[in-house]
Order: sequence, then C-alpha cells, then structure tokens
Amino acid sequence: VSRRRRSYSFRLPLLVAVLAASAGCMVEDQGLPYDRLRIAVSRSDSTSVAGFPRCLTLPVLNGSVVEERYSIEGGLEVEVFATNGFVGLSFSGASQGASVNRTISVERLRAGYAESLEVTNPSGTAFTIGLGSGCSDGDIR
Amino acid sequence: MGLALPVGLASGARGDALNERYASQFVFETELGAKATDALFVGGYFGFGLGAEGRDERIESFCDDNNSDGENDIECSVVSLRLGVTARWSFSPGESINPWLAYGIGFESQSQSINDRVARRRETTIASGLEFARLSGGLDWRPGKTFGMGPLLEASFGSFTKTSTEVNGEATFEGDVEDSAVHTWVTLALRGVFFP
Repeated sequence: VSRRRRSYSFRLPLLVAVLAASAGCMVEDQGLPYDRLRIAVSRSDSTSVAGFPRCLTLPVLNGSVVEERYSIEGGLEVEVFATNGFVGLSFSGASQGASVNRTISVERLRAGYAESLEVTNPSGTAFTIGLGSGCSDGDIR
Repeated sequence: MGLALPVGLASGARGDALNERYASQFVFETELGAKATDALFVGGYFGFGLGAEGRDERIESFCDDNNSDGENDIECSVVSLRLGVTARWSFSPGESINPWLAYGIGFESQSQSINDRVARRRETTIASGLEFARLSGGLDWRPGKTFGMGPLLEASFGSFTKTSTEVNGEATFEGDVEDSAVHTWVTLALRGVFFP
C-alpha cells in the first residue's frame, strides 16, 4: 500500500506538469492566439464590394496601435483604430453620421461578436457592413 | 552599469503601468564632458538598456519558452536608448571619498518586440519622449588621480509622448500618445570615472 501511495503521489504532479507543458506547447507550436475582426461589405443586391472581406489582426503588445483606412465606394470609407484592448470603427462619408461608429472590446471579440450595419454613401447607395470575430482563409489581411 | 526598475505609468490608458510593459533592465551608460570648475562637471550621456516583457500575464505567458524543442518560437525583447546632457556637483572634489549629486535631461526610447516565428508575424512598438529630470546621487572612491568608482542611485522621471508600431516591418501607426503620464526608472548602479 505504501508503495502504491508513493507511486500515485509521484504521478499526479507529473500529470499536472505534462498538462501545463501541453498548454504552453499549444501557443508555442501554433503561434499566438490573435484577436481578429472580420469586416465584410455587400451592396443591397448582395453583390460584394471589391477589397473585402478584410481581416484585421489586433496588436498584441501594450501600447501597440494598428490604424487602417479601407475605401468602400463612392466616398465611403471605414477607418479602423485597434489596440490590444479594443478596436474602433468610424465611417467617413456615411449619411448616418457617427451613429454607425462602433467600439468593440477584445472581451466582446473573444466572446463571439457579430453585428450587421446598414451604411449609405454620399450618393445614396446602401451597403451592409458585416462585422464579426475571427476570419476566413480567403479574407484579405 | 546597473539595474533599472520601472515605476509609474507608461500612459494614462487603463492598466498601462510601466512595469506591465517592461521588466527591470540592465542599463549601460557612458558620459563625456569636462569640469567647468573643480566641483562642477557638465557633459553628455548616452546609454542603452536590455530587458524583457513586463508583468502583463498574457504577454508574459506568450513569451515564456514552454515547450521542449530547445528554441523559443515566440521571441520577446525590450531595448532602451537614452541620450542627453547632465551636470554633476562634487562636494569633495579633491578628496579620496567624494559625494556628489547630479541632474540630467534628455531623450528616452523604449522598443519592445514580439516575434511569432510560427505565424511569421513580428510586432514592434516604440515609445519615446523626454526624461525631464534625471536625479542622481552617489559616492566616488578615488584610490588615485586617474580612476574612481562608486555606487549611485538615480531616479529618472519622464513621459512618453510619441509612439509607433510596426508589423512585419510595415508601419501601422506613428503619432502622439494621446493620454501621456509620468513614469520613473529607479536605477541602482556602479559607476567608474576616469580622471575624476
């Protein structure tokens, strides 16, 4: 009985150590678990707009910033400002003004964020902006 | 050369303490100047520091080498640069034991990188600004006329006002720190001086 107990008490920390090492290996072997936002744009007739969907990778380090500007069509643009804590989107040229701007925290992205916005450019053409967590292989990065 | 400990805030953003970004650093610094009087030295300084990621648990966990393949697939580094002018007052300039106080002002830059070799993504962010008060004091021991040495304690107060980020060599941001704050590096070092 004594030997069994010694054997068990040795195996438990070993198992914990192996599991902990495995968790570490996942980051080491697969790369960092980046937070990503997908931005898809389509017209009212469901045709997609060239240059989309976009995949935005949020920065990792404290203090890092990624700032991008994507042109949609007819003077409508989406401006993206991302840190490792949030991503902010604003639409210049949108008839709706600032009401379609969004600030999405990384916590919301990690929880599975999805939203669809209706945005109109200065000449009255309507677009559907699809925002969501994660990206697909074919997205433009 | 010495060890610098981060204190205070890197910026006013939530949770952006200096020690969350950067760990303590090994610093190496050199000064060049002349004595305006027996007691007053004026000159310039140049230094660099080497460190690691700070206490942010997420970044720290990324940077740890925690598999057994013998190489770290996620590399992290911090390098600092300092440049400026300084003035030092010696209280016993002709004695073998000389206590002194100094003030300096100059430029500080901290460059932090994380290199994900698996995803082939390297992110570097540089924060820079003015160190408006480098206050230090120490005690030099001078066994001869050509060389002296002794301990020093320094507190340098600064603020990051500019920041830039690069991902895979391409600039993703370059501009002002919107919500800057005051930070301090507290340094304990050993100093050597030629022709004191």
